[in-house]
Amino acid sequence: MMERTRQLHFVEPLPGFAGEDEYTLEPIDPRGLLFSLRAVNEPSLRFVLTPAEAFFDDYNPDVAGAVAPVLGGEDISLLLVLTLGVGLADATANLRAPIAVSASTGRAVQVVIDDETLPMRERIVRQ
Amino acid sequence: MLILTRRVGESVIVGDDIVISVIEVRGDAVRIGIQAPRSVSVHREEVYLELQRANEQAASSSDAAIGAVVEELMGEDRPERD
Repeated sequence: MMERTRQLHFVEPLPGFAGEDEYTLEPIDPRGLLFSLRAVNEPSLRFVLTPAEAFFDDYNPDVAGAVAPVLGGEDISLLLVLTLGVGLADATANLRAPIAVSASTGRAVQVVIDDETLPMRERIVRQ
Repeated sequence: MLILTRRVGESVIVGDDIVISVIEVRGDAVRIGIQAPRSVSVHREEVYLELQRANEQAASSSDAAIGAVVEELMGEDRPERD
């Protein structure tokens, strides 16, 4: 669903980055595993995201019902924020706070899931 | 900072439309209920601060790191995904 570049409007700024709410989401690799999320007004601000299902088959938090009214669309996808170190082996994903996107409205929000067992830094490949 | 005392079942109102209620007090733990409009985000403070740090760290991933990870991913024999 996100094979092309999209403009995203964040209904709340990402925590830590107040003031930026317009971003461009763009595929990085041809397989659709990695996306860059770059602030329109601050292009040096760039996150790397991955579709939630790409590395975490069983990750399916129940957020669609809560965020659909906020994003104005039912077609909710979840993207995880990655922190990259030197390679794939130490790359981590934030499972506690995924980014919910409605492709139809172009709106997005980072959701904090109220489940303390979900880590903010989980390795994306099993060791 | 306003400091006040409330009993179980009592509330405080913040602005026009945010209501914070004391639901239960047990030992040093207090259960509170927060009613706020959708436009107001409510977070546990320590979780919010940790998320700020995690996001700041995530935003510092270098081009070189991205390139290295892409290379590793493309080298793997992973199935295509829709």
